[in-house]
Amino acid sequence: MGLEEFEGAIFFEGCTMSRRMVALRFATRFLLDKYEISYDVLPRVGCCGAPVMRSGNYELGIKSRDKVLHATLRSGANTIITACPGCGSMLKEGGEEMGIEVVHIDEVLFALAKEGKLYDPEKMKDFGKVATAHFPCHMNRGMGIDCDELFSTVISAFPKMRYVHMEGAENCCGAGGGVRASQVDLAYKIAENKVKSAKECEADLLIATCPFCELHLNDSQKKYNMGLAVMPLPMFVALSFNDFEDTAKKIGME
Amino acid sequence: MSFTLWSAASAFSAVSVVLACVPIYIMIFASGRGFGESILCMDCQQCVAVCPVRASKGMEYMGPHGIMKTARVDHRKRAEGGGLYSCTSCMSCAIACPRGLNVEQTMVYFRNSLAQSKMGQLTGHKRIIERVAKYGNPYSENMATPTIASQADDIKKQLVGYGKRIGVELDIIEEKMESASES
Repeated sequence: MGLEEFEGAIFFEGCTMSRRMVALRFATRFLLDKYEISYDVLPRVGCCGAPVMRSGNYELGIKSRDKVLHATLRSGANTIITACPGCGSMLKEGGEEMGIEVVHIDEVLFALAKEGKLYDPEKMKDFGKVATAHFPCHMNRGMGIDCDELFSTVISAFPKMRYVHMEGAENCCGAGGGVRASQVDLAYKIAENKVKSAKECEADLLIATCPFCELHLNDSQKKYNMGLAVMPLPMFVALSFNDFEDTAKKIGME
Repeated sequence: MSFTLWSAASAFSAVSVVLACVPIYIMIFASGRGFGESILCMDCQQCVAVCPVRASKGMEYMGPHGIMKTARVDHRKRAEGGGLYSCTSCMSCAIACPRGLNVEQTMVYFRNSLAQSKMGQLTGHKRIIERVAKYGNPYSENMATPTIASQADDIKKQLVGYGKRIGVELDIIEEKMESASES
């Protein structure tokens, strides 16, 4: 997708990002403003339907999803940007029938990187780290995004950063489907190989761009003493901006 | 004698026809419950080879192939015992399937089927459904989205944490405290 296609999109914040992973919510909005992509948000953000559907109420899941899609159409937009692959995958499924394009914020960063507009040495710093990435299931398989190409392109846009592909990058982290919430030991057992694999490729930074994967992989790397920095891609890019700290300082003060 | 033989042959033919149609009965039954795809599963177990839960739990978890098999006949009790709720919905099985069957979607239908019979659902799942039905989100909070300003403290706290992970000291919390004390 070209950059112009993201203009006027709805930034769907999802219930977890708008209520729990609030720093990611702020960082994503910060990036959309920085790269001058006009967007709007829905005033009442409900559930995208994915957690309800997988918890055993299929109809309520579809009803919740369609509510979001209809609200998007009513707002006049036909593109949704989300920072949660779970929401993205769910909305994309129903959105296709309604003519709504659903993209992940990382796809916006990817488009910027391809056009050479992502990294500006005058405005941004380059952390010069070795980064690897976990490919969230609902982003890789659910939304059909080529994660390897995406992450390598975005990370490589920073001249001193180095991207390495880790073994089993596309494997599940173990948190999804309500498993972390209900069977945490099983979730940690599945994540063990993942964090070990990230460590083995000598990465300092593990990009986990799904809020649930990030939370789980960060806890897992602590549990297995891996010393990895886990963060979503938008947060990494936002932190690179020299004025991010000043903007963050002003939250709640204006 | 000839009449008896004729009757026996007819009865045999009738039974054969009924038995030959068993797959069709199963197909109609499964399709009616949204499990139509499970009939097309050819039992190759490619999905089992890539399942992360099966790799961790072993035979204790019925795996994606087990889901397809039990879904054919909507065998809820077996699904409940086989750990249907251990599926992480990672979709590796759907990608591995040589016939392109969406095993994860069958799992979703199956969980729905189990929930309707009040089987196998864990407390966490029930809570999510109740809250989304009542509040529109799984956190029992008002439908209206909170403003960024109202979340200032939480955002700053989380940002400082992210900064630390990558070696950036974000001096954003102190600033607020200082300005508060100055005023």
